[in-house]
Amino acid sequence: MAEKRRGSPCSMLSLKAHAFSVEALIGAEKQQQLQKKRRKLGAEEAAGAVEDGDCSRGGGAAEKGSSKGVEGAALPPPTGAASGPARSGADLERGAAGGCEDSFQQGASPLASPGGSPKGSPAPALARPGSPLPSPQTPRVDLQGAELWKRFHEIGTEMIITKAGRRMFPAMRVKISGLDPHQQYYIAMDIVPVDNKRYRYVYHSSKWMVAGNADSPVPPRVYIHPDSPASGETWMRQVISFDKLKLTNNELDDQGHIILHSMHKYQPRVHVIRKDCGDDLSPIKPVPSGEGVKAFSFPETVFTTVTAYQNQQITRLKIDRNPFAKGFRDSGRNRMGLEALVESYAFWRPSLRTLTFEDIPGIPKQGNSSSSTLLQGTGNGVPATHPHLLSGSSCSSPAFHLGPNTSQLCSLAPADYSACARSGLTLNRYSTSLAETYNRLTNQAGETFTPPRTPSYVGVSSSTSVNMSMGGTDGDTFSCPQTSLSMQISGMSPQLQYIMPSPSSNAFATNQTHQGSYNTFRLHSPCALYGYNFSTSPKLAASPEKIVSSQGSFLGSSPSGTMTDRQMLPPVEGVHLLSSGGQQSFFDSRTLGSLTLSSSQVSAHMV
Amino acid sequence: MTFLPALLPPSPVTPPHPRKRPPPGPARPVTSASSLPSQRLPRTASVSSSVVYGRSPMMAFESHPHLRGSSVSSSLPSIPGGKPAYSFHVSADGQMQPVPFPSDALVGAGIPRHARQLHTLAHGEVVCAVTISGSTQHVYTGGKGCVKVWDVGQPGAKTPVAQLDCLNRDNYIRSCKLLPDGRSLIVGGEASTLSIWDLAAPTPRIKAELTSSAPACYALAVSPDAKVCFSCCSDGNIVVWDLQNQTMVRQFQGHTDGASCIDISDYGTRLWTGGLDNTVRCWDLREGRQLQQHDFSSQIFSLGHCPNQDWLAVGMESSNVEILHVRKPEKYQLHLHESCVLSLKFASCGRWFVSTGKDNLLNAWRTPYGASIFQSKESSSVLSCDISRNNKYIVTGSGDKKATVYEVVY
Repeated sequence: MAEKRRGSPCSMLSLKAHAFSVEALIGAEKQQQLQKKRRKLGAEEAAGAVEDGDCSRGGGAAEKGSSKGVEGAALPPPTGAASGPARSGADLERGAAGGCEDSFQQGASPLASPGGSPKGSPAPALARPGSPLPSPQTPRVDLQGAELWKRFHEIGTEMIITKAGRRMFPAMRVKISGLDPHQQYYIAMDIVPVDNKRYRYVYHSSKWMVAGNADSPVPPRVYIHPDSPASGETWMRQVISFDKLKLTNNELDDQGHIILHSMHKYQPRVHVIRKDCGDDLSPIKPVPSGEGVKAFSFPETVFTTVTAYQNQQITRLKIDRNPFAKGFRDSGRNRMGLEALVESYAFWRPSLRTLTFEDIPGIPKQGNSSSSTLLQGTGNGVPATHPHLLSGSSCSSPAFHLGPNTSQLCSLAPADYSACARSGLTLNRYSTSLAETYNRLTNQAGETFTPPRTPSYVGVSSSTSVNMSMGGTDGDTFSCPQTSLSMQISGMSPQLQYIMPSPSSNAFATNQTHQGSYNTFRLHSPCALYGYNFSTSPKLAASPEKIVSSQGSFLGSSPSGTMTDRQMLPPVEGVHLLSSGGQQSFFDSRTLGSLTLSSSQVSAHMV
Repeated sequence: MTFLPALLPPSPVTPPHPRKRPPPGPARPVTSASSLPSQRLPRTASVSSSVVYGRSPMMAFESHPHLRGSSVSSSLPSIPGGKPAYSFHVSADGQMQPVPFPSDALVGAGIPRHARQLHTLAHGEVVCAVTISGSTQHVYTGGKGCVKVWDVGQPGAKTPVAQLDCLNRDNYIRSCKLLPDGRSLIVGGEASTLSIWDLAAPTPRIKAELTSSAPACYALAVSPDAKVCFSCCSDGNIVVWDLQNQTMVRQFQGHTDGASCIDISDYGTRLWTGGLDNTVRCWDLREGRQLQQHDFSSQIFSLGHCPNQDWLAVGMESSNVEILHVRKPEKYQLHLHESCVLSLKFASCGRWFVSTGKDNLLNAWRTPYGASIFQSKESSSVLSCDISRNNKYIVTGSGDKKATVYEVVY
């Protein structure tokens, strides 16, 4: 059965049925008659206005072209113009031509004007608004994704060409309006040189410079949109995408790709060709010209062909925006789960940091808020500038190390540890929940703090597997930085590091027995960071450098001395570090020992 | 040697063909209805002069090259010293050969010589459907929303004698068919309803309305016994209506896109339909199933079954006219149209038929090999045509909002 569309009866017709309606059959014919008349008109005016040269030809052409879609209502005006003395016709044309030129000067915006050059490449682009006969049926082409094109254009668009053929990014996508719905059209695209120069990219000045004259012209190639021929209605209904078009530098290409020279500047053009004028249309011949053929081009789609990107900004922008280049993207863009969480910690620096309890303001005040807060997204608005991870005041503050991509436990000498302390850990977001958790942990009375259970956090730097293993002795002490566990999260670029701050003093000594239990802990899921509510910040995500550098998550040791997967935080919203309400604090191992842990616990939470 | 017919110049005048046999004497009444005012268009006196068009007699020569700009002509084999052929025989294995016309191609009883414009009926809207009554007294023209009735038996300027408002004013009538007794008219168009008009009443009035589910009906056919009518719908269904009970009997489903044209074979047992899905299908009316399917490379816009021979003529969107043999895998391909062939009709004797196109042409052809009998160039697309039952009149509906009545001259 013919496809049916819901709606008014006339819209329930299939496309062919629509084309079979009387309106379609007759309407097209009216156009033909109109064109015949216009042709005669043009001949008269051209004869009378030869001195106008190119412009008049263009103007006349524009006039003819613009009248193409008119159903007959516009017939009287041109007839009137023609019937008057030829001079007046020429005047009309000149006026049109002048108008054309003016609007061309200002009308560079492709979105505003219906299109660029109506006829072929040699003629200057004449903007249609200058035509004295505005007709509602003038074909109009609008570039889709013009924003992206503009961004590329601002940098200087480059397109890779290869022997086998390479698609364009961005691809030309346009929306056409003003076609006769029942007329059949071909839509095609070709790429023409902008100038006759050859270019080279000067890296130092980040500029393209002329490097001589263009190579000899390439064989003409046209990419005919695969949906051709189709009715105007079909074309206008959808975005017309030329994403399958390929560019090649192989002059002997026989795949029908568009052949270009490298290091030359080109301009893509879209052609709308009426079916009856499309007999000459072929992928290996230049686009036919004539009144049934209209060309449209957009200045911001000019590009330079390259075999490798010259401008790094272009590379970056391409990777950023081209979904097929996702694999090249830096961490932080499409990570899911733990990955995303940790990567969103832009403030984690690659170097080691320590957290100090001193740095944790407001610790005493924290209440037990929460297992709930653990899971909640942080509303607490961890101030970005506060470098501290908050934790329970009374808990022994283990020393946390944020380490760079160390994939193994490193035991840091206290000296080292302190050295990296305070280096301004910009753990902006974290700490709220972290502190809360910590606080909660520490405030649980009766729980003995077992030193090995260091709140350890995971510093995220660059990728990998999920396995987290704690080093042997690290569970020991909360004393100076000791061991950092690196958690490898699969697929993640940042590494998660766990540092088991070893208890510096005897306060922890009793807990050594519990070390073992901390020796290994595994992430049960990529999202299994306890106690962390990472709030993803678009700001963070937007700064690739930050994302790459410093991320981390905070682990606290469980009060009972075991690593328990207490909370599996959903990674989506981010893991919020336990905090006490908006503060971030870092633990500094130096001060760890100074804390009395008897009444506090540090819980290590597996999240 | 027989000369082939000359090309008709693009004017309403249809000059006589140069023929070997002496031309008929002074104008004789060409129709039995001699009261018909006929436009006495001057015949060119070139009858006796040899209007030689430079062809050898037996081949199907291109007699009007300037009308055929298509690439077909350039690729066709041409007879040395002649012009490209327009009629080809396509054998079962697909081989195309230009057709050598037999000697009686254009000469013989019942073969017209030319046609002459008699009346112009200014309908005022694009005339998409025409039919002429059996008595040749009335012509019905379907335009936008209404059918106008014209009395062509009377001389003088033509104004409609009646107007039948069938559809909304904006919907085009696509087909109007008289029942064999001439007392009822069935009208279908770009709407969901068919209307049956009682013409015998003092003023024509609607007898019934048949509502289908399709948004448009493109063609109608009435069974010879006037019991059922068939409607080609835009959704591809062929709806069979019981005219007495005014109910739907069945639907023939098969076309995957709109059904555009229909004809009943002479015996009344088979139905032939053509569709926008590039197929022609044959349906058995008794068994209610599809019997044949012919696939083409282009949409079918019109078709007709020869009344007494096993030929089916098909007019296509690609401008070809193809004449299929109903039982054998052979066909003729005719290339004289330059644009879609919008309508087609066989004469009741079956020996010739006419086709009309979007290229403003009315072509008369010899069955089955398609020798061109005459051509008439109109001012606009010719969307519809009909031949009176006595084969004396041809009516065409034009995109120029008028209908033309031709008198066939033998």
